[in-house]
Amino acid sequence: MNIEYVKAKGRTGMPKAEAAAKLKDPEATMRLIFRILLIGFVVVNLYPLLFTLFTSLKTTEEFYENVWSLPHRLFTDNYAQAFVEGHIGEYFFNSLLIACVTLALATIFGAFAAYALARLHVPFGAAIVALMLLVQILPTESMILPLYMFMSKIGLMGTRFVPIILAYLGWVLPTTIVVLRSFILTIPAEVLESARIDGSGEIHTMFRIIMPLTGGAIATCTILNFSYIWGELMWAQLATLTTDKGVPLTVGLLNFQGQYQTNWGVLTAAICIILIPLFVLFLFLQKYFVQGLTTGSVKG
Amino acid sequence: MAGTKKVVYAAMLVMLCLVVSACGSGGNGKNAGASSGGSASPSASGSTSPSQTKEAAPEQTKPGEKIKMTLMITSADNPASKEIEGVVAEHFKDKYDITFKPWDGNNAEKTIKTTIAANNPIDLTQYWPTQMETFVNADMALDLTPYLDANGGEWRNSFLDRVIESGTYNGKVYALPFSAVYPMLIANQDILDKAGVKLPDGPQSWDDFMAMLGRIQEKTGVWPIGINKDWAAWVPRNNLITIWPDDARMTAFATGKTPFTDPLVVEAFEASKELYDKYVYPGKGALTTTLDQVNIAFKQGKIAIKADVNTNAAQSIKDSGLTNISIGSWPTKGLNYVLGGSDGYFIPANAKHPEASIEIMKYLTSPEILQMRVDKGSPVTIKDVKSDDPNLALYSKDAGRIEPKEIINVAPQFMDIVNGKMPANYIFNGKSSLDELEKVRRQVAAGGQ
Amino acid sequence: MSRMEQRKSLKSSASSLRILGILFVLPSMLFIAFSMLVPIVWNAAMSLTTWNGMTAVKWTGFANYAKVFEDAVTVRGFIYSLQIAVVSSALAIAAGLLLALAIYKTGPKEGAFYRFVFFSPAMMPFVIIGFLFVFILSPDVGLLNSVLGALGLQNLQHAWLSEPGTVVWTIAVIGGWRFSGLVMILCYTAMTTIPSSMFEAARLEGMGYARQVRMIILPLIMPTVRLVTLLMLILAFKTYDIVFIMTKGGPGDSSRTVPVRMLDVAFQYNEFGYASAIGVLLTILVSLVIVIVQRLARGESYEY
Repeated sequence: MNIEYVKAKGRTGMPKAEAAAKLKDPEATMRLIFRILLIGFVVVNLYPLLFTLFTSLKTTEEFYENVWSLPHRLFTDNYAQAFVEGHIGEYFFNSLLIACVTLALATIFGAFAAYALARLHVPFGAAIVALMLLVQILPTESMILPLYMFMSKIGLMGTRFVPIILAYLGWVLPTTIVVLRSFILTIPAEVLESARIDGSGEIHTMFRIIMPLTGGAIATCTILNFSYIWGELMWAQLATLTTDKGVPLTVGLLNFQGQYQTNWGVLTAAICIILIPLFVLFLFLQKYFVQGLTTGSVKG
Repeated sequence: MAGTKKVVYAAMLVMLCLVVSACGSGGNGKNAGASSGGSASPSASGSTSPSQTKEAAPEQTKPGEKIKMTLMITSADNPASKEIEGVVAEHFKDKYDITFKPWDGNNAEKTIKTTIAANNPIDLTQYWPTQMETFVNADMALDLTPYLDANGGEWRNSFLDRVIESGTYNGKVYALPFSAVYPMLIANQDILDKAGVKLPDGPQSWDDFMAMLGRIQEKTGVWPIGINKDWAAWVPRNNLITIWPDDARMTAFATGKTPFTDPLVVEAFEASKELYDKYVYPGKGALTTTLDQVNIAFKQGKIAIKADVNTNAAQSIKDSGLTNISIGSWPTKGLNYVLGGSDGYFIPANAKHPEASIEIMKYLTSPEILQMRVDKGSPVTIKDVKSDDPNLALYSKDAGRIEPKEIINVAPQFMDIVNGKMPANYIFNGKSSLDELEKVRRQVAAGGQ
Repeated sequence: MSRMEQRKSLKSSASSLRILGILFVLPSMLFIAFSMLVPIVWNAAMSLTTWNGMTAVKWTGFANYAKVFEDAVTVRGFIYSLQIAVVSSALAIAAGLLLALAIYKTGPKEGAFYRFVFFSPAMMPFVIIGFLFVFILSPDVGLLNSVLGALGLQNLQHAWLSEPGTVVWTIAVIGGWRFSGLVMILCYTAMTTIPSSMFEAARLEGMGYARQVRMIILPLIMPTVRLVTLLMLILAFKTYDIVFIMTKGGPGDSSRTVPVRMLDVAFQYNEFGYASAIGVLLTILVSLVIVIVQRLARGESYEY
């Protein structure tokens, strides 16, 4: 198996001498097309980011002179301004906190519920699963107004983070449960039965068998939920209407844009401050994800 | 029913408990570092939920504590508002703990209404006194009349004559204006000179205006006019005010008695379409051009004239860096009026601390604060301010011609469609776009009887 | 241990499994009830009433629903929402799948780079994407029109976000682009779980990559693709953020999707009951589309 793999890799890194043969080989042509496709898409993805980066390093005058030119020199005042006056650091922290707490809770509660619905006897289990399938497709837009009224009636609206996290948690849980449950169902029942007869407790089973086996699914859910939470705007706007504490990035950035409308330098600097740590974070996570995914698959 | 309610409340308590404890454990490490400057919030401790919910309620009424107030008075495009925010916070720092939310004209109504409906209102907000129908009809605005008339009308008398009328509905004052607002034109005189045209001192007729734009385009090749997308509706709105042969016809339309199929109404929209089809920068994308883009183009000499608001004019001219500037009135289709109204403040009817809101409103309309606006070049609505800017008169020269009675005030649907979607819908869909308006007009007319 | 005891423990384990099951499910259900079920019921009830946000609630039966069908703007909103959801999902899935297949054939380092770059838009909040694209698509100085101009394709230049014929398509394409990375990651993840032994036979038979894709990869990752399709549609129907940031529903009504219309009706017209009815109908539409798509996907699924 390994040898095959190495061989396959060897073909990817073909020397130039074989270029002529390559043309005849439909595989190589395809690879070439793929490469062009990939590189083209990289350009489409990177250019906006580079534009943002360049703009953030320009003075306002430079920017107005030629919007698409490269910066003349490193101009970092925009960053200082975005950080100090724009409170971008604070917004970033808020969003990160909201995302981490929500994701941790969603993973734990979601995994327990998914396991129970897949393998334990839950009264009306089938009905609950159907309900999850149904509610996960509902547009959260239509729930926002009643939720807002409900939360302010019980005095949650003034608290920092709580209304946002509570709502997000409820919104991401159905999808999480549906995805995790369908993965848990693929684990052979015998594995669980044997664990049960061994006298291993359910919670023990949960952490020792289910969690490791569903690593890939959990990673999937985390990616999905994260990208939702990180970008959500409508509820975040509403939940922080009357406060300036605990404001997440999306809303903060909109406020920020309101205040610095004509100052694209500062605005793009703020965007960079948001994106750079995010990319670094993902760079690490991706490695971890891929590792988790492959080990999970080997065991499965 | 009652049983279900109990269950729901019990469930909520459990959840609250879970969340609070989870937040405490999840965020503790990070929290400690980041919120060093902030006040220690009670929810950080992560104790049991009942004590927490009990604590939350009386928090506001503790005698020694400052009242928490939320004001939405800081608008991004107004040059003085950030400064005013600082002064207000400083002035009340011993009494009120004030949170400022940015005011954004596009979302203001939504924000205000949501918070009112949820009984968690903003304590004082900026709004247009002439466009308060939507709040007044739903009993959402606090009646300010008794406060204005207290102490022999002391507060009322600090305003210029008649300006308070703009926020008066059925004899009661619901909003107070701080400055008169109307649209105007700012021109790059160098380009106008090249074309051999100039803006007249008084208002120009629509036909002359169009001829002038045509000449600019022909002689200089520069785009004749730039209009920010949020101000596009000014074109049809002003035409709908001035196109009538007399005041009676104008009032009839403004109160919803004239159908939208009337040839003059159609002509008002048709003229707007012609302007957009021919002369507005940058052609096809004119309806989505932002203020930013207009400003940049004006600065770079890509457009000859730009539409602006009188209260922003001084700052806007300064920002453009151009020195040879001329100022003109908005063109009219006939009657000598200009659309407009005022920027002002109101207090939601269910504000938690009406007395405190009134106190802040009094301060916001005092000479101390409004002088700051005057210093930035905006004319204001009260008596005791002075200015040494010789141009200030130019920025209020059309204030006397303002006609606040418009069809958009009859129903919120008119406001949304005429002010928010016109002239775009007319340009794209032609006369059929007026059907929707006519339908609303008939409904309103039927409902009113 | 006697047989009796064993049976007893089995019995008690059955009931304890039941209790455990309830305990495991309960917290999630409470959270979901709080932020989804209560608002849904509230909304459904409100859709049968007239309420202006302040004064008393009036029961009006199904009048609000009848109104939707007479309201051309709302009806068009449903069409726009559907158009954006379907076009951007289809694009995201096609592009994501193609990218995943392409990356699957590259080296590990290179692949990681591509995965990182392609996934990055999914991490960016729509607020940021909106800012960037308003700039890129601006008719006068925008990047896209500049590029088209430089290539001599002036007749392809458009005011992308201000022409009624292009604005919804533009938004749909951006939505599709944004989510293509997500589809790519999910499909790629599914591909990595295919045991390499599956390919050995194929290679012995001299099967090309195109055939491998058709015969092995696609059938094996079909469950994931189906799941992704569902998720994509769910995500793509959330047409508030992207529209709000880029056009606010305009110009005119030419991109006024259902969620934007719903908020207008609620907050600008004070018709909370009508807005709720629109919300309920959106829910029904989304459910219908998803059921249809699921049926279609099932029909095409590979049996083995």
